[in-house]
Amino acid sequence: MLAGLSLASWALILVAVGAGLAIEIAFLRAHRGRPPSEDHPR
Amino acid sequence: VTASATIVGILVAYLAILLAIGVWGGRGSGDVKGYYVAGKKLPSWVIAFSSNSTGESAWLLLGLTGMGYLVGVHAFWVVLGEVLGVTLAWVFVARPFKAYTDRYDSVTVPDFLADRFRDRSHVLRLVSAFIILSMTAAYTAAQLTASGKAFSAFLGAEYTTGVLVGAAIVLFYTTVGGFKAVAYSDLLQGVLMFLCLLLLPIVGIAAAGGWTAMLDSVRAQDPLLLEPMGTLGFTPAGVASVAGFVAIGVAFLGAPQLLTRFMAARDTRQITHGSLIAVLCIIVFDVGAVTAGIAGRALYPGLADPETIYPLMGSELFPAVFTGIFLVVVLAAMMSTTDSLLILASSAVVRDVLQKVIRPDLPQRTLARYGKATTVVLGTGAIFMALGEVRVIFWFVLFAWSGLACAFTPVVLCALFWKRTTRAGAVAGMVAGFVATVAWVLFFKTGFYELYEMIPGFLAGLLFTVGVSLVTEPPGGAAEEHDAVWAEVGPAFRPAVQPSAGESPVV
Repeated sequence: MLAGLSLASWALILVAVGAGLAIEIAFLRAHRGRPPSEDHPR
Repeated sequence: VTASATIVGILVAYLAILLAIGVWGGRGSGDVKGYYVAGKKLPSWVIAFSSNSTGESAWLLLGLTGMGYLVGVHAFWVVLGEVLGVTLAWVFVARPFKAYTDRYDSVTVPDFLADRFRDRSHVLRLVSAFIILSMTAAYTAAQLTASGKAFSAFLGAEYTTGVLVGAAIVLFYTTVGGFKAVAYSDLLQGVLMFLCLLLLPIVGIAAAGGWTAMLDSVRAQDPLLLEPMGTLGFTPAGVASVAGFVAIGVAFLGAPQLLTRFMAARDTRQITHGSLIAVLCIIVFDVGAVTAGIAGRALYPGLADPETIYPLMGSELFPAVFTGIFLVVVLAAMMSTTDSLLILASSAVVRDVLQKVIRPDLPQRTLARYGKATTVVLGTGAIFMALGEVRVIFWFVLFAWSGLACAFTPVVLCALFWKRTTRAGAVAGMVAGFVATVAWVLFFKTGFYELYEMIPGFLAGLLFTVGVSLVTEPPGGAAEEHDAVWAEVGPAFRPAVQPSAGESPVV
């Protein structure tokens, strides 16, 4: 138990929030500093 | 000033702002592209909030808080599914979809499909229009039902009054202001939902005596409410429940009302910037709703209808001024979905059937006027459904959510990621996904541990899209076009490299 919840419950909460965030941060890092010309203008 | 007067004052102020947005948005809605995709000029924060507040209807505030109340920590599987769904949509789907739809100058998702598969027979458009109309009709009615219930719960007003007031406002700004008004009102509504779902769980936990006291109270009612598998445990029903909760997020990858946001972005940079806003926003939405529900369970055990926990907490834990805001937020959640569904259904009729199939010669202004008239007709139909004897309830929101998603998501994903996809495969996948969803609900669901229809619907759509594509020929030039789009978009996790002559593009 940790802060009133089982480790399994904390694991679920952490994965629920963290998985998406981790993917998003990796995506932003890959696109940081990308010049505007590489984007597709409408 | 009485509490009711304060609540009504806040409500009137909110509705006045929406009317003003409608009038302001109307200036750019004189042609089809302006009315249905705001001229493709929306910035990142608008598409991010608009996408999430469209995806999250009044179900988020009433349904998901109720789920947190009913099943406890088990409801975090919904959070996992939705956060992953939103993230994957923005990281993997949005940019190639934007590139394709800019190339085709698409205004609707059926536009994209028709051009991607060179569908001159209009079968894809007609099938799409049928599915969109059939699913959005009752989905919209369910949202108006939520408006009626919210007015009853917060103000003690007549259910009918709530339906009519909610419908009148949303119809006005959607009809007059078009997609621009829809997207900017979604932004306002999304911000309100964000703030509310940040505040409600914090106040709820504090009112329950703090984190530990809240958990103790819930544990005393049923310790399994604090376990990931909930009261069902590791049984077939428990696993089916987890799979269904996670699958709710699949719709973010291909539901047409959400893809329209990517299409309406100013350029792909707006998508890159908007992705972080969208992911943070959905985390606050979902974690806030589930945690508020758990706090509500500690505070008010034994509710007959768990979906009343949100209005109950809003009226019991806050002063009148906040109660008014909480009512406004329910209306915001309802309206931000209803407006998008109305404009989606209107585009299916006017753009995909009238302009592209029946009367391509009609001038833009006439088509835009037809679009507005269609929005009014569809909205009026939804009002009658919501006022009918059989009131549409929240399970239908999840049903319609999956019906739209299962018809479009497998086909859209294959169209974007698999160059071998064919027109026949796309038609088969759309029909199979839709039919499987309906058939599962009608005939099979109760016999398979109440497994959520999104799973069989999506799998059927994917199976038929791939299977039929493998035995038919892809349209000429589609493979080369696919390579060109992906060379332009580049991979999600590495900087894009333009291929030199003769080199295969990175996919």
